[in-house]
Parts: sequence; structure tokens; C-alpha cells
Amino acid sequence: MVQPIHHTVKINKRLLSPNYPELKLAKHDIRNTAFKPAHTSQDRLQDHYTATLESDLLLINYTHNQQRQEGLKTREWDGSSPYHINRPVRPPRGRLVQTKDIKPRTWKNVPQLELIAINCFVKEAKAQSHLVIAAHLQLQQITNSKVQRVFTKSNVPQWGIRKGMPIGAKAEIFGADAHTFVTTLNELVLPRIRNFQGITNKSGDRSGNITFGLTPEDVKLFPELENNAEQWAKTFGIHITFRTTAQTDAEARILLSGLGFPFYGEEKN
Amino acid sequence: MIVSRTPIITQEIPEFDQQYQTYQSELEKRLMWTFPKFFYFKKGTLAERAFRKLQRYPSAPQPGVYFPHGKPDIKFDRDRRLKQDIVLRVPDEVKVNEAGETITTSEVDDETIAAFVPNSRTTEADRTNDVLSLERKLSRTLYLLVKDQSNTKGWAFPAFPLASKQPLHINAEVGIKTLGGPNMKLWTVSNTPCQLLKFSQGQLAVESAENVTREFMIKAHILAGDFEAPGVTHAWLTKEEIKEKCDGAYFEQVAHLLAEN
Amino acid sequence: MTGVNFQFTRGKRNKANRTRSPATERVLTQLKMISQRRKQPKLLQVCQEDHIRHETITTAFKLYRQEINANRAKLLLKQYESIKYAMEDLEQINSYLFHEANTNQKGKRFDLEMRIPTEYPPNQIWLHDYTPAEVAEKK
Repeated sequence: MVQPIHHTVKINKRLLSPNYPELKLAKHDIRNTAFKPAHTSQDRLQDHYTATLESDLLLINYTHNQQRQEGLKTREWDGSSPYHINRPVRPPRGRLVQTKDIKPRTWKNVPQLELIAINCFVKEAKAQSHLVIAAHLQLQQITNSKVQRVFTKSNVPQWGIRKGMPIGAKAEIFGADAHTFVTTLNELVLPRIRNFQGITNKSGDRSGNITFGLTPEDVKLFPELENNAEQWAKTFGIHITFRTTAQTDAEARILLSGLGFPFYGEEKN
Repeated sequence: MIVSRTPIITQEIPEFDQQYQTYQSELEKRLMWTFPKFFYFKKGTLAERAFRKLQRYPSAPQPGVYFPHGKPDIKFDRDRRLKQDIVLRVPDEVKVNEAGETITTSEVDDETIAAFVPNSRTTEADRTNDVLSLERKLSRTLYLLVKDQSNTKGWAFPAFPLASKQPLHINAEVGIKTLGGPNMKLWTVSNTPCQLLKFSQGQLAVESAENVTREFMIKAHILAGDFEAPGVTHAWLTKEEIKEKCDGAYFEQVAHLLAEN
Repeated sequence: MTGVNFQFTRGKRNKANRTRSPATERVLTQLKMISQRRKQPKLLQVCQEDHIRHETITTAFKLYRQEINANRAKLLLKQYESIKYAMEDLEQINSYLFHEANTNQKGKRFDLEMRIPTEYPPNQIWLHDYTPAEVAEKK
């Protein structure tokens, strides 16, 4: 007898139906409206990474006899009280959230830049909501990608915000776009910022993602805005997050220094 | 120690990649949003006039005129059925003047604006095939090889005897500075060795051999300065050239450490 | 919205008698930039023959890239194994050297002078007359 598998194998019914064939095309299919050409030019940052950085990072991060390091996990209540049964889960020791396990570093998990998330929060938009449009356009210009709008999530009368107000813009860039953004930052923007020390060593979310900020004045140095200065009398500060596949912040910083970012300050973790 | 000079210019693009990139970028031009001229050039300005002069505009549909390739669909000065090419500058024509110097058309038209002529990707060292120069093969990674004086190993990476109570990478740094002079800026990749070679009586040893000399390899990059060692025969070589010069068994042991580019 | 004026006009408002402040104009231009309206190209329509051509090119390039990436992964695996081999041997022969080679170098950074390669070389390709700072001070 054939065992029924209909409940174990997930079936995408949309693909089985003969209706709307144009909606079932793969993303890379040229007939799909979402088709985007890739590999339109040489990616020099990617070439640099594969030729030099990758094998160097493998050697730098190597530690002999590595074991899997357990992260902090949520704990069980000991059951000494009957009230423990329906209590919310007990947080990890000394923290509120769980941390990831650290796996041994091998040739399979050499740190890599995954994506860059750029976030622009416009405080003045509380009173002048049209400034959000300018912030949106600014991100579109410097990232060459589709930008998403950001709305406030909650009512905070003291800050003068209500739920659902447009308050900024954000963008996520991958691949060649992200690499162009990195080289523009390192070669054209950051070297011309006055008193720029670098990214602080204190930045990081403990799992290999590094964030730093640029002031409205710094943003004016992006060539897309600088060469069209009369349209950009007002610019907006941005937060840039590098999401990497590194397992710790220290490793992510080594990778970013390889991409050309300077760091300053004392490194703790 | 493996001292390498990382590439200074981008890799040579293989022909297939080049063709694929051209194809994809043409598709991109076809699928991109129309260039928003109104944002960059204010109407009635000199800049806008100059920009307009450079563009090639599609012909507009006329009543009573038959278009064999379909009626143009024009929005913002672009035929939406076709790709858009933005011309920002007339490409310079290279000419030779009476004195025999090469000049470009923009130099002829306007002396104040110097034409952008990039530096050549091939250098003097490439033409003379000067293996001692760090300015050769800019798109490749070069490695420092020295010829063994006793001539037992032949061409090999520089190696130094271990001084007592010194970590391997410090020993290698001191060793290379004593051999090649202090005027080199080196950056050691890591304190960890990347390969171990075992020698017995100057030859690569087999696994079971006894009384072996061990050679731990430390990686470093040269960032500035020159390797200056009058008494030592040395060369800066790419992976293929190392394969030609080195002993086959030796190359086999180190080949995977060398960059393809 | 502040900075965006609205003026009353006599009679019906039309393109000729409307007046907008420069601030309003700027916001409208910005909205026009963000919007895809009138900027979207026509949908790309390929005949079956062209589609097969495109698929062939894409597949060929994909296979070509796959081969390159597989070779790269193989090389990286070999590098990893050789590091492991060297460290295993070092652990057995000298505990001091092994400890020094296995400690995590805190604050390790790539040197900023290791630049990302550019399409054309810089005017000064290589800095030949380099003198280390300590030596220069002693002189």
C-alpha cells in the first residue's frame, strides 16, 4: 500500500493550477516582470574578496581543536511551585534573549558580507510630513534600489507621535549594489569627512552585524547628491548596518577592515 | 614565509564573462526606468541645453505616417519600447598633431578641460619582463621566491631557522627583514602557519622519514618598500611562473596556497 | 503640511492660473522622481526563439560560474586541511610555539593600505622609498 504523503509534502497549489501561467514564472525568467539583469559589470570588491580576503580570513579565524560553543539559552522552571506550569519561559542567565551557538570555523563558514541595511529616521517628519518624501528619495539615490517607507508603530504622546505616521525610510541592498555602496563609502565619502576616526569598536549586536551612522552633512558627500547639490539643500542622517555571516562581532570587524573600513577605540568583544 | 603582493588593478575579464556582461547591461538599459531629466537639469538652463544637444531623440508618432517597426510610444523623450542610452559626453577622438604627440579632441576644443586619460594597465616592468620589480603584472598576485644558495631546493619561498623563544610569525618577520632589508612594509596575515613542509637532507621528505627538518609557512602581504638583498637571487612571480621555476613536488605542496589571480 | 502653500484664485483653477510655491514644486518633483509613472518601459516581450536563446545563455553562464565556485571551494578546503595538518604537527613537537600560534590575536585588522583593486593603476604604482617610522626617528 502506498502511504499517503499529502500531509507530509507541502504542495504549492498555485503551481499545479493551469490558471495564470505568467504568474508562475521563476524570478530569473526573462518573461517575468520582476526579472532583473545581474552581472552587468565587473564586481571588483567581490573579486578582491575571492582572490585575497577569503583565504586570509580563513587563516585568521582558525583555532585548533575547536568545539561547538553553546550560546545562552532559555531555562526551565524547576517545578518547585505549582504556579510554574503556566509561567512564561525563564530567560537565559544574565540576559533577556537567547544567543546563537558558535560553530567551529571551517572553510564552509568564512565570514562574508551578506547585505547592507540602511535606515533613515526623520525626526522632523512629526511636524513636516513631506520631509519623508525627501528622505525616501535620498535613499533611492544613494542605494540604487527600491526603498520602503517606515511608519511609527505606537502612540507616544510625549514624543508627539501617533501610530501609523510616516517617519522615515529604509532600504536593503545585496550583491553588486551593496559592493558599489561599500566602495563609494570608502573611496569617496568617508575620507572626506572631517575628523572621521572610523567605526567605533563598541558597535555590534554580538552576532556579527556592525552599525554606524552618518550625519546629514556627511551624506551630502555622496557623489549622487554632491553633483546635484541644488536639489539637496536638506539631507538626512542615516544608519548603515552591515549584516555579515561572521559569528562574532570581532570577526565581522576583521572582515569590514578588509573591505577598507577603519575602526577606533577599545575592543571588548 | 610566503610574501605576496596583492593585485593593484582589477582582474582581466574572460571573454565569456565580457560577452555576458554586455548582454546583461543591454537588457538593463532596456528595462530601466526612463532617465528623469527634469530632476538633474532645470528647464531653460545652459546645462540642460548642452545635455539636450548630446542626446539622440526618437521620432514622435505623426498622424498619417506609417511606422514599419511599430508606432513609437514616447514618454519623457524616450521610446518606451526600446532601450535608452544617455550620452553625457562626446567620446574623445585621439588624433596626432604636427609635433607627433597624441592629443584628444577635447584638448583641441577646450584647453582648460584636460581629457581624462587613465594610466596604462601594462607597465614598464611588464615590457622588459623585470621579475625583480613589484610593478609587474598589476592584475595578479605576486609571490616572493628566492633561489637557494646551496642549490639543493632550487627556487623556493624564503625560510629562516628558528631563534629560541620566539613565536613562528615573529621569527618569520625578523627573518625576512634581515634577509631583505628593513625598508619593507609587511603585514603578517596571522600567527597561525598555513602549511608545513618536511625536508630530509634538503629534499622533501616522505611521511615515514626520520630526522626531518620542518618548515612552517607564515603568510604576509607586502604593502610598501622593496625587497633589497644584493647577495640573494630573488623574483616576484605569479602562480604559473612558480610552477615553471619550482621543483614539481615542492609546487604540489604549496599550489593550493597561491591565488589563481 | 507647512511650507506648502495653497492659494485661492477667482473662478475655476487650471494650469494657467495656478501658482505654487518653490517648496511645493520641490516636493512634487521629489514625488515624481519616486513614482514609476511614465518612467516604466514597455513590458519586454520575447518570441519563443529568443526565449530559448536567452535560456541557453543563462544556463551556460550558470554552469560556468558553478564550476568556478566549486574549484574555489575545493581550494579553500585544501587550505583548511593544510592549516590543520601544520597545527597538529606543531602541537606534538613544541607546546610553546603551538600556544603562540593558536592564541586569538585580539584587535586584528587588515591594513588600510591594502586597497581594493581599481580598474586603472594610480599615478604612483608602488611606494619604493619606504622607511619604517622607528628607523626614521633614530636617524
